[in-house]
Amino acid sequence: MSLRTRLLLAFAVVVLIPIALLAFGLRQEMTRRLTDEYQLRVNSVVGVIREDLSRESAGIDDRLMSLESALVNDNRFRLAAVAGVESEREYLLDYAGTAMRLTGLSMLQIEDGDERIISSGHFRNEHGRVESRLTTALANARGGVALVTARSADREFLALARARPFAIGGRTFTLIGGIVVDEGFLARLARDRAIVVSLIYPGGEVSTVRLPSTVRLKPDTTATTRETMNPAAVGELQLPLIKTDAGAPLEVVEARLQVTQPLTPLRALVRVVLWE
Amino acid sequence: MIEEPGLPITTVALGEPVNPANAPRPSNDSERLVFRQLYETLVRIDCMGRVVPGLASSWRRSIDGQTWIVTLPPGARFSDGSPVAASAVLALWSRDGVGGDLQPHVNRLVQSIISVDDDTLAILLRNPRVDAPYALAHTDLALAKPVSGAAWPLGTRSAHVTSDRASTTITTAAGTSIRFLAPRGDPRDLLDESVDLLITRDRAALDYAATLPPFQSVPLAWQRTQVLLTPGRARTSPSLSEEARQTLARDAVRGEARNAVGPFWWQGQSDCEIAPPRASELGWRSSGRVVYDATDGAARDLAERLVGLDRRIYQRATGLTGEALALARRRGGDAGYVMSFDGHPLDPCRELQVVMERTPWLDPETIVPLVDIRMRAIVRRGHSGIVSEGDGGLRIAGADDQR
Repeated sequence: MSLRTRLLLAFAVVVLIPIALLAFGLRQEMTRRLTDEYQLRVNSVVGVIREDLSRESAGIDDRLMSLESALVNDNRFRLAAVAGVESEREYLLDYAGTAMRLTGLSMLQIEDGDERIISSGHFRNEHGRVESRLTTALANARGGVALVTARSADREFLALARARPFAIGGRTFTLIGGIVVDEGFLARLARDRAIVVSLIYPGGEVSTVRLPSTVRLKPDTTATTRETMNPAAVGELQLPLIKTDAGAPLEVVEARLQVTQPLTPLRALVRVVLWE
Repeated sequence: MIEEPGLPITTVALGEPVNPANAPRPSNDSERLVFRQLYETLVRIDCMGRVVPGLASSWRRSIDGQTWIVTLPPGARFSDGSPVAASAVLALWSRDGVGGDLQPHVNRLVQSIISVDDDTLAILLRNPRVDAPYALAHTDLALAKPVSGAAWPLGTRSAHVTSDRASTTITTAAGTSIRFLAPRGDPRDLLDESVDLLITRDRAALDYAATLPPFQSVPLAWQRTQVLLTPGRARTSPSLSEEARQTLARDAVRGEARNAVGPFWWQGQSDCEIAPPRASELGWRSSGRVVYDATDGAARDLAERLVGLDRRIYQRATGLTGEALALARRRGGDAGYVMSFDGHPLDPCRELQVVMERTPWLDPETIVPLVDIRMRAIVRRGHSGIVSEGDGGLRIAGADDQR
């Protein structure tokens, strides 16, 4: 090997190694900074969702309050629910259905002092069933935000619900109302299509993206495992979920509202900037 | 139905679509109403339960007491003017159109038929009643002559029928016509138009009609009984008490309902030839569903109430229609089926055979009667001419034969 060649190789090594180290460091730093940016963004989305849920919950409470003031002035309701006038019974049974549609709720039931459903909007013929401790469980929810498993005649659904007790003629009643928590609701919370919002709870999962069953994760999969399997910025919010299965005692479990932003676009960006 | 004389009914609102392909055997209440105005049976049952002339002018028992000798009037004609001779009836009721084997729907009611002469038929019924040939009034035996290329088969009343998406119009030879308006989303919209008659169970429509001075509401007969069919149910299982049925009628069913009142025609049919119930295809494994006919509001209310009462047995209510409903019912793999039965069929044995064909796993003794329901006729004041018949059908005077 000639001296010229040796010098050329030596200079190449001396020049290329620092460049490669620089590029590697740059890539690491860029990835870290962008990942942090993504994580910050996800964290702020989690914060926004928390506020949104509080606002939605307060909105439900406002609607229940309006219903309450309508109910206490409704003589037909009073006749049916307090005086027990038989001819007004049908009015009482249909009341929650009409009120639910008017107020834009997707779940509404009126319970008497014995926690017996006297009128149900989402399941008209459920009247007479005793829903023990639901009112108390809703009242105990942190910040008034709680999810409930509700049932219509043909399916079970999740609802963000509130309870509002009121009295007519010395008798106590409770309005329990809510809005359905489904893919559409979570998509509204996410605002951005790039962000995936999933609600994971014992027994099920609702998400803004429909994953094929082969890649669907178990509901108890941790955020870290999820991130390892599919790199993403992840934020989480804990919510109480009140499960009201028929024949089983009421149970309060923890549901996790998970906000995920996949890092795939970030990886693609880094690849484009540094290698192409 | 309305005692005072009045103007004829000219516009009728229908609750369900009418399909001419089903004529003359109706598949819903609206078809029952329209087809009744076009297609006659040999005899009719009046509102007192008496057999009265339909297309036939007379009938008597044969000397051996087994067969009914039915005489057609000499002037009997189809609406195109062709004569209705005994041979024509034979042809319409037979599979080959020339008097061979009877068509299945005829065969359920009629064992054999012979044309004695041009105007006389000898009919042996499957379920002979000594007093009167009630089965001959069944809509399965209404006479309708198919015409190639025409949507509507010809009837024996002198009436012409035309239909489009919006309405079906029956025009008689005398020039009077009745327009049947196709169903709308909300039956109250039809009351705001110039309808003379609306038959409905819809409570909102009935309540609205009650506030409209030009209309009166007339209850029709308790014609349908809602029942629960349960796969694997034992005969010894307790049936619903009268009080429980009353509560169902009052609290669960929207619209007019009462507790199902016996005796029930499917009970005590020991003389009726029916195949013994066979085990469900799924071996009494229940899907947890209560299945009902999605077009039947009362059945839906009852199915949902069953779910509301006992979710461990009845996990969800599922409304089905058409083939899906027929298949589910045949397989018997669900927790229960809420079905609507004719409350007073003309031939209970034939009705039970049809039920058993559709529900082969069913033991008739385990049918649980729930509630009776009825419709109401909302009639414009000053109009009359509606006749309620013994089988619950309605005839409108304007469409009557002018023969």
